[in-house]
Amino acid sequence: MTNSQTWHSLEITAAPEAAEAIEFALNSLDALGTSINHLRKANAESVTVVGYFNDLPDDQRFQDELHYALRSYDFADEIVSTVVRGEIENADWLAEWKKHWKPTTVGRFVIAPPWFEVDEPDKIVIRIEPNMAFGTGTHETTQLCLAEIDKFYREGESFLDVGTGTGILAIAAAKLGAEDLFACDTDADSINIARENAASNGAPTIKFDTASISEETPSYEFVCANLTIDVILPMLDLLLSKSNRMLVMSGILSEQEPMITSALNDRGITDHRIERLGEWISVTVAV
Amino acid sequence: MAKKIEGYIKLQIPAGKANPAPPIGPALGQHGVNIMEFCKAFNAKTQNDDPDMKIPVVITVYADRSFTFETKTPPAGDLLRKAAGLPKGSGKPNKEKVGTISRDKIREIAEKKMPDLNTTNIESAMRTIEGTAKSMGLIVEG
Repeated sequence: MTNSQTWHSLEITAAPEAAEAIEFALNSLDALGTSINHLRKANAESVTVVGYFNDLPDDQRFQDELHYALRSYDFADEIVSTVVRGEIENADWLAEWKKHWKPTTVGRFVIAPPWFEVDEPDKIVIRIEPNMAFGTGTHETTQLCLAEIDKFYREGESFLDVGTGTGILAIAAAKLGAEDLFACDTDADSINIARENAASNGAPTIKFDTASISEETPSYEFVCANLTIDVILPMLDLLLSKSNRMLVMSGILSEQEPMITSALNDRGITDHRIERLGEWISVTVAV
Repeated sequence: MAKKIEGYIKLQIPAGKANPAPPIGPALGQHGVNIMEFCKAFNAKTQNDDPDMKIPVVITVYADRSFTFETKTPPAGDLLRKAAGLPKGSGKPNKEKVGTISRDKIREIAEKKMPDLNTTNIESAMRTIEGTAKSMGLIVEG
């Protein structure tokens, strides 16, 4: 594609049930592709299907195909309310999405994508490539855990990260001087990404494993478990037994606070610390 | 971990041929979705699909701008046209008979489209597909 290239679009607005018929019409017209944007939160009474073209089809052909497609799906032509023709200038869409990224600061840490220049010499920068599905290291629960590490982790303590995801929490501990580090996740893809992140952040001492923890797992001074309540509760005793000094748990919704509090109370723990961010909480236990 | 969903974007893209040009670039770029990551993953997932078919894909965009996607089955009209061997652009309005299609093909398409048709009943899915076929001017045989 050249910089001077422009594309043409047909934006067809209709009742939502006609969406597939319109997609069919645009496919028949050899559109390059179509899109429906449900992020615009337009009213639910209509849907706008956009078809993209190198060259717009002539009007008669468009009308014929649209009519044929609507009729095939048993709709009258009137189900379409508007048709808008547009032009799309070529843009550097690959760069476009990067503009939306801003670094996230949590205590001494700044989480930033690899290309983002961070001009804060007193901060510890953690580089996380925003990858599909595994998050970007900026989720509220990640921030809650990072804040607890920032406040309570003591330099040199051994560190265990259960459900490591991007590896960010173990990387943070490594940046604060941890050398004995173990991070695990049951998702193999996640461990691959965590390994890459550890390497690019200069944290080669983290040991990774695609697994959960078990009785055989050694105990660590500082343990983070950013999971979900349904995973945490059944393994709470195991998590407590693997924590020599401090256990930080998150991935817990505010409304689930009574569940974790009562489980801790049952085990004689009443002085745990709760932090909140958005609809999430973290629970920190000094063992 | 339950992540906050920002919304959904539905695209139709030729199987195995996703690239940053429209519709992907303008649709995803403005929402901060990693376009190359999506293209790679989509192409990997659809590389063995029919390259003449556009594959619908629903992309879930999360508040932290990470995303997941799920491919769907093409519109029933596209599947019927392909199965009946109709060329694109044969959609002449009010022309009664444009081709034929076997009942076995109707069943095959109905099975594929079941998840989109809100039914678990194959007979009812077949009736819907057969209705579309007839409205398209196809004669159902067998």
